[in-house]
Amino acid sequence: MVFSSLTFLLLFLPLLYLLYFARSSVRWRNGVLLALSLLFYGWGEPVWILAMILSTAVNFCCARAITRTEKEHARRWILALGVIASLSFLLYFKYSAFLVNTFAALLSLPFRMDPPRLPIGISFYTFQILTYTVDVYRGRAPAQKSPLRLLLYISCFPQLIAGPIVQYGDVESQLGERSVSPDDFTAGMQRFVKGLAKKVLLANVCGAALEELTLAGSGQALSWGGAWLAVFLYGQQIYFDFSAYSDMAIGLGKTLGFTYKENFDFPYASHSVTEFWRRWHISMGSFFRDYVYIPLGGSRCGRLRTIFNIVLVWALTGLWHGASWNFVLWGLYFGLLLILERFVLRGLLARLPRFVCWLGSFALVTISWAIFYYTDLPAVAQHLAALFGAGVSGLWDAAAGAVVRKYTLYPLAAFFLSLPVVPALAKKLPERLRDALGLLLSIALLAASLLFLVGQSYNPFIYFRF
Amino acid sequence: MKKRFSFICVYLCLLSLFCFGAGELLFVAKGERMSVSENRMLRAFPALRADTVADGSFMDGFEEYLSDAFFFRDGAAAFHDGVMGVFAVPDDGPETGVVEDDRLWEQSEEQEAAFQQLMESEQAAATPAPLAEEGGAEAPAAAVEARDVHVWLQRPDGAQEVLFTYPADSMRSFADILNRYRAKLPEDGHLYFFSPQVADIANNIIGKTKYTDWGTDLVDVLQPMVDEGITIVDDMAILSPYLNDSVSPLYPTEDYHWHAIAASLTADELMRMQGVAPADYDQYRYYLSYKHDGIAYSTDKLAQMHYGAEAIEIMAALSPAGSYFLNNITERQRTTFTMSEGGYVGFLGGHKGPWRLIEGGFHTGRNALVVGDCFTIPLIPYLAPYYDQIISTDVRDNFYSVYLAGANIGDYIAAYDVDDIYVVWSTNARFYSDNIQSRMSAYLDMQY
Repeated sequence: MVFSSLTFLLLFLPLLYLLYFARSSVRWRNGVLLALSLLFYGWGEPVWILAMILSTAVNFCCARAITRTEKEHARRWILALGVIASLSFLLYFKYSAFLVNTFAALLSLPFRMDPPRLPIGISFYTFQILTYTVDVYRGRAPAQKSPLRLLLYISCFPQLIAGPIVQYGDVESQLGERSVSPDDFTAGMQRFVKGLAKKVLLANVCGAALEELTLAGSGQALSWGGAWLAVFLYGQQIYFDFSAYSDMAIGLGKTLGFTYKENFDFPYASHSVTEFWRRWHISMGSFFRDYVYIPLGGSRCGRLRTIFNIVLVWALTGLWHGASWNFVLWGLYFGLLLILERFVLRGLLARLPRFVCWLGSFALVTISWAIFYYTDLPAVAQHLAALFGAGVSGLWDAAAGAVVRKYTLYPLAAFFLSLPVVPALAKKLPERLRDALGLLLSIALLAASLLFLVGQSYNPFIYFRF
Repeated sequence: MKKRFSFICVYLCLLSLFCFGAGELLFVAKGERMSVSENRMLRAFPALRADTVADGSFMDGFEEYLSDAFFFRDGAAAFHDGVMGVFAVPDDGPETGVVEDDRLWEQSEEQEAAFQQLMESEQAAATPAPLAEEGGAEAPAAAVEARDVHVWLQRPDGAQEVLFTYPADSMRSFADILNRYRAKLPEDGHLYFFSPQVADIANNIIGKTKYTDWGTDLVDVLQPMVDEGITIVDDMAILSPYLNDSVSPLYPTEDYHWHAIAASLTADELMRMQGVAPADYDQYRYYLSYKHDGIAYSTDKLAQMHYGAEAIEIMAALSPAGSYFLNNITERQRTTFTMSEGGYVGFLGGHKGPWRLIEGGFHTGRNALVVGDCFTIPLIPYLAPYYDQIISTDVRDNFYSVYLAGANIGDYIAAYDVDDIYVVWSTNARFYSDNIQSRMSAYLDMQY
């Protein structure tokens, strides 16, 4: 089930609150939340609930064993068992076909493996399970005594399928005790509606506009302007799509008494690529920093080792997004930019005007979406070449012109809203007026989103596939 | 609580959502219904069984049902289109030969009233006469008794499961319409009618084991009711052997129109019926579209993500060929394949027109008229090599303008010396729909 579906909005959500707030005991609420979270996850692909439960069960047992074992050597082995068990699910479902086919191609073997069907959100919940076992191993959190409570942490529907990646230590106490005030509930719902509107009114429209453009791999040459328009639209779509999901998840979490960390902080306002990654998909960045980069030694082992760590982390970051070489390339592209900014350009960036830094960062990030979009490497190459004027059909093409005429203000409005202008203006308003306007806007956006959902059904979440 | 009023508002919004959802489940019809404006069947409440839940088809169907059953559905769609229009820059003119004419939208009250009157009279004519009461005057007996037409799926054991039924009275009036069209042709002219099934029907069979074939008694019922010079073609029988061809699938998975190959197979059979050896499928030029749509409803119900979409073959007319938008019988404007349109609607400007003229360029001395719904669009390229000219129109609501047409269909048939007519109405059109019973009938002879 997705948040931006009528099933969720008209039936699931009201039913959830009806049951959830029927009693005030945490035990009852956890039970309701767990049952409905499993329903939410199983809606569409019920069979994958078993994979999630199995993965949770293995890590529950491993964590319990870690706390009962005193020998460090044994604790490490148990941790390794939990990590390998979790990653093996991910490896099989997401990467087995990619790896087998890559090796088969390298060795010229005459077979090809079809990828297994991917359980929704497996990358997200696998990482969450890993944070649990590792946090228990590190002593950052106690092992959970109740397997159902651990399953609730993993399956809690707001963040289950597209993040943010919630680290166990951040919500461990909330699983046992939490409360929701009417103000929290109101603020949470308003945040949810904001996310819904971003998804339905902006991301979907940018996606629809993108679909009407001539793209690489279609057998036609791209125009220079069309190529830039395509990556700009995709950049807007993916930002509003993903940040919308995070908004909805954080908002829903708030209405249920959970506090999730922010996942986006106006990344397109960044003045460097480094800053961009501090503002974009923050929970994933934190995961890789805390659970991969720092354990590898981080930046404490000399320049060469730091560069190696950065390259490895960013290759893994890219691979996390999908089992395809374009994602690895995309990760390495950012790894390279981060290394350059860190070791070569730091002084230059400090001297350049802020606007130039912003423009350069925005352009570099926008270019990266061409790598991210196509899983077909020749198409990536064609689009990248077109961005720099190579092999283009001209400056502009009819399809791009038609898209600009048809959608015109949407991408512009999306771009404007992707920068922190509105929050800055809102801060200048008196609090009561701001609240009143916020409420009116939320109601209007909810109504408009519903009508849009019925009026058009271009509604998939991009990050579902990761 | 600082924000009591806000909380009450949020609470009321949630309550409203629930009332909407519960209301839909309780009060909206659960069966399949026709949406004439969209030319498709609205989703029925999906079957709730263990297997449909396990494979997720219940959930998919349920979401579609909620969307299709939404109160004020047309209003919501109009709101969506309206907002999209507000944020767009008005088009300065056609990109590639799109006919722009204010008359399409700005109709005088007199014109509107006259048109409504005509439509009402056609609807009245299409309504079957009430059965004679016992002892009263008998209704005139039809020359051939009309029967219901069934479309069914066949199980491996040979048992047939009826999918839907077309009522006998609508078949009788449809036969009369076909006869009237045939009467416009010269003596050696011929009219062919067939009804392609949409992908939703085929998907019961493709890759499945529960059903192995499909069938209909359309030919058995309709053929005896029509005049000489009309052939009712069993398109389901033509496509049946190819249903499970995974190399060249007949239908896209994300759309319920047909692929070019299915149209080609049907056209080939039509040509063989006429004693003509059809051109090979591979002799045609094809564009591959990676766009999601490939359909008339390009940005709406069926849109999928780019990466989830499959390539859809788009047909290009054989070269040399000319294609034009056509109105007022002779006003033509050249049009070409437009990538910005994409998919079905990309071919020759799709539904725009309201008439289109295609020149095959092979000088065969014969001309044809193709009339029906969007399933006609991919068929035309495969007919083009056998005719000097093909004129084509889609008479459905939203796709036809009596004012732009400037003349009735009979006038077009006469003006273009049409020899053969191909009538193509897909499953979705339904024989009892206004598009067939009223519009197709009314536009043939309406007075200008």
